[in-house]
Amino acid sequence: MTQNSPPRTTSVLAPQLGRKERPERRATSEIMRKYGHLLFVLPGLVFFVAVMVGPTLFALVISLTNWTGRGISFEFIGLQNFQDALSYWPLYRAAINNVILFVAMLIFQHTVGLFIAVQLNEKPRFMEFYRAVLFMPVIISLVSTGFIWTLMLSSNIGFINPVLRDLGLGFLAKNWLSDPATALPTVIAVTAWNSVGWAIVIYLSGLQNVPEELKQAAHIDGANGWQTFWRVVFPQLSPSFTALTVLTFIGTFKTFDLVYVLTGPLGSPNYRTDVVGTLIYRTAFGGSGNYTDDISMSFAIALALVVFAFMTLIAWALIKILRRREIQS
Amino acid sequence: MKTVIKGLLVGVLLATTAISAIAQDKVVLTMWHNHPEWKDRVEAILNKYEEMNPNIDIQLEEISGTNYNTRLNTALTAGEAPDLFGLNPGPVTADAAAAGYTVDLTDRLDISGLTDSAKAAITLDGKIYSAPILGSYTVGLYYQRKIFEENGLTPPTNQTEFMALCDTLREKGITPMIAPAQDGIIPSFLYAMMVASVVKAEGFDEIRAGTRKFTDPDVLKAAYFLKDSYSCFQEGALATPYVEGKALFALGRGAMLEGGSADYAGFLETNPDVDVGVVPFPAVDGGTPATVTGMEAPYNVNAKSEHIDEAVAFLQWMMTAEPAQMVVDTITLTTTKGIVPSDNEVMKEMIEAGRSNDVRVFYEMPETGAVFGVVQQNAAALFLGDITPEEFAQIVQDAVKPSSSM
Amino acid sequence: MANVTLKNLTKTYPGQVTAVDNLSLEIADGEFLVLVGPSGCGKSTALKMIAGLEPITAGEVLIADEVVNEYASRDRDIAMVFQSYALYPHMSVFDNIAFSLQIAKVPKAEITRRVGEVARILQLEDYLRRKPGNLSGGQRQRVAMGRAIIRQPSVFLMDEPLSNLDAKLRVQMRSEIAQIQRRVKVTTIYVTHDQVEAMTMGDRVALMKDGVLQQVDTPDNIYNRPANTFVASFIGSPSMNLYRARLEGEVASCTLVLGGNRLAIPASVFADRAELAAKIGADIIVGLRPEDLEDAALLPTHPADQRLAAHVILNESLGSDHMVHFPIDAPLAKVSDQDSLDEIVVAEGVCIGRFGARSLVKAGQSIEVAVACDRLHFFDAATGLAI
Repeated sequence: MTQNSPPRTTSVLAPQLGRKERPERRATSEIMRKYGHLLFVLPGLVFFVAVMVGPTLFALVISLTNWTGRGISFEFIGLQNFQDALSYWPLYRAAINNVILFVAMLIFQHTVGLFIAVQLNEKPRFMEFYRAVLFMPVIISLVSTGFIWTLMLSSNIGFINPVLRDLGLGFLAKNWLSDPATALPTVIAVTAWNSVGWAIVIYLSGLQNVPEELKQAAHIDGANGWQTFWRVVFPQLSPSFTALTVLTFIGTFKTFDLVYVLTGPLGSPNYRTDVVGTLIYRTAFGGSGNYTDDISMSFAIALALVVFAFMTLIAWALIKILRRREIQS
Repeated sequence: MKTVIKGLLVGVLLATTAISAIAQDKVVLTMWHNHPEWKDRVEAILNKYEEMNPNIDIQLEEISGTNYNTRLNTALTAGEAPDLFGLNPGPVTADAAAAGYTVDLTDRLDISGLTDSAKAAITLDGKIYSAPILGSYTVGLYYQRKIFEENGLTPPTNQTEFMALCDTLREKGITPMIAPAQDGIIPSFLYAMMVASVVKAEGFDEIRAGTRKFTDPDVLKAAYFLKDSYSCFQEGALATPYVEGKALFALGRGAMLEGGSADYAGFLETNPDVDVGVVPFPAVDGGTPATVTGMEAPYNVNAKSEHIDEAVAFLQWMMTAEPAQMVVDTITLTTTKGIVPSDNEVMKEMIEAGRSNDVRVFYEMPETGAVFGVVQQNAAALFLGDITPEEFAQIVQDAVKPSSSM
Repeated sequence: MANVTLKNLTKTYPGQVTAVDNLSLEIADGEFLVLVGPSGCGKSTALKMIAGLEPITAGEVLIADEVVNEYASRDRDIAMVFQSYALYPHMSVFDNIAFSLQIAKVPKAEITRRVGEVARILQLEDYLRRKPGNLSGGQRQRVAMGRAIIRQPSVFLMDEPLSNLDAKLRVQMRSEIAQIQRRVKVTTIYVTHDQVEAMTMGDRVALMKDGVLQQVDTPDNIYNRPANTFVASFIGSPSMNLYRARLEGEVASCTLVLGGNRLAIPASVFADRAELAAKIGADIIVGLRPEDLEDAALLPTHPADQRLAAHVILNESLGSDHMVHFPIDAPLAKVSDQDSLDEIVVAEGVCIGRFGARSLVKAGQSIEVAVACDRLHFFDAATGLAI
């Protein structure tokens, strides 16, 4: 087929085009050569500025005012909101709950999550099935899972307590979300159920990157299964450990939807499950009451920025510390 | 700088609000309402109006109560609010008027057909900004007729009877009272009625004036009653959402429920066979059983509306006998004079309950505007014993802005 | 220290893939045995079965006359050097070498002493604090050796330990490993696909193909007396030239008909190969090692009836010698990796001769090639087995 087309066409025309255009294009092509690659970044950058940087700067400006979120009257009040935020004790009450949630989740992810990942890494039958089931909660909307859990946990219409009673475990039946002793643990449990898929997937990918020969070498060196795991395999998982720890930190500190759905706008009972997410939401939009005089958008934004700064600092420090103990290779 | 930010504020809020401008020959009036459970009933009334006025098309959008204020505030700021919107009377409406969001209806609307209490509720410094077209609600104590009849019980009238009744019902394995306390709204109404049973309407004015306090020994008893009543609530009350609680009661899973006239339509939606009666809430011992009354958010006309005249005409019609009758027969109490429920027994009982000792809700008054929310936020602490009734009363009192100091 | 015996060792994977088929081998105490073969021949699988890293389907592994089939790796008193070295990336060189002693709870002082000793032998003393990531390929290889040596095991198992090194380092490490083995005198089984390593390092070489052992012998015997065409073509570089040919005449004056060429076969050849005389008149496969072919111009005294007429198509000069390519018009007996007889492809084949440095032949020339007829290899045309 190529024989049919006149072979000279391309070879004659191409050089001509090149010769003609070169002088005119020199100036632009010089710039393009130096900075042209930046064009590829542009769409992403524009998007990032429009949806992240812009609104964040805008929020920063609002936080310097006393804008309530209603009407458009406001005054600049400098750093007053931030000063108030730092001495606002409900923020600390909520933050402590976040810390408890974080620590509990951290322990859970690095024990149960790791354990399940190790089991799955042994490639049991139906592994794909287990993995899909365990990861499922991660991809379901938090609002839906939260709602389903409230229904299951409800003292009046839920089935968890009746099932416990039928099993003869009636003493375990609790008013899960309204009893101050069990409310936060229940929120933690639902969060754990919801996010263990992450831990499994992250650890599993780490485990699959550990060369089989490393384990074999350890076996031959005389290590038993336990020693092989803790002394040889686990240290290889430190990138997974770092990633999961940081993700868990961020996840638990920005949690909102699940807690809001489970225990309502007031972090029931009596703020035992209030977290910074629900606190900020309540401050910005009100606690669903009929009277909205106590809401303040600008103060809520100041709270959010304080939390944001704190989280950035901690996440940075976590990465810094954890990276140091990772393998250099 | 401020203008720039204002522009940005409006721009941002605009972008977050749905824009629904459809060019049509008809005059389209947009209307937002905060009770999705009443949609069909409200549509029925609107249809009547549209039949009579073929050139008018009223587009009703129902937004759930939790999101309503947020959406409306955003839309108002962005200048994208509907032609007609409901706002709580009192301080909230005053704010909106001050911001120039609403049309001053003082000389445009004839409110002579309204009850005196409704007139008072919508009048702010002699001016009128809204019309109570979907009536008012009165809150009292609902009880399951069947449970009470079968067990030979009568509705309680005071704290002692109430607490005794709780014990009786518990012994029979019946949940005495459903109280969805997750968001604190129900406890806040309970406390309002308990306080009202002690202070009555006059005492409420004294509280607003600052001459009477929630911490006064006699009023403090209301806080104690509130705390005691917690033992009558269903399991897990502090985590029970509002909708779940109302559904539980409608399905007969508890003997009593604090509820308003506006809740009855919702019970019927859940369970058409619901058979309930309503009485004033039992009094603190020595007091008078009380109810509290508030306006279903009266309707304002958007100052930016292109059809202000049509909107006002609609509001005017809504206060006439025919729609008012539909409101009281299918939704809640009406605020139009001389209209009585035709065969809605529960509404009749509610009107009856409201005759003895009815006070207005806290949040419609500037002085006690914050009280409602503060009770919401602190009731759980009182129930759990995290704070004493004395501390609770003090927190509530601190939220009062007495008119003498204003 | 111990001898290792494999008795009918077999490995079958699900799906009836037989990786190792009835492998029997005796490795003497202190011997250095090289297990060689193309990739996929089952040599690594065999090694892993000896190491206890791979379950045994059938047969027995004996270490020091004890059946160890049911023993875990750590109880077999072996040490293994992996192709990837499998160094623990998070541990220092010291800890890598000391790991097995630490697991065995050897006193700290002794660990330090023994690691120091090993590090001295392997010239790793300056690197003990480093992590493997900061070492060169050769250093990592030494660490892997160190980890094996320090245990003073009965058997060393090495799985292609040099294949990750560059060519120069490989040559150097080759001799180092051989020397270390000779020094520590530990029975060693060394797996490689590299025939040069096989030839240079082992006391004996075991050659495998498709899970089946082909030949076990000293490197010299493997080279000089390959058991079949596969061994013949696998060992030696460039490979042995294999052609279909025929013997004519009688023992005293026998002629090899190789395409259009005729080569006189000395009677001594028959003396060494009892069965060859019977093949006169039959088709056989003849093998010519490249070094047994020489530029006749350099060997003026070479008998005229032991020469081939050839047309040079390519001359690859290596300086020390020349790889000269010339076609021979006889059918080529090509041994594919898969195997032997069915797949001996008949084709016009290019023959390679290794000519001396002083040869002046150029591509395009027609020359005479001197054939060392007393060094020819003969194989059965049907079975490929050596005659």
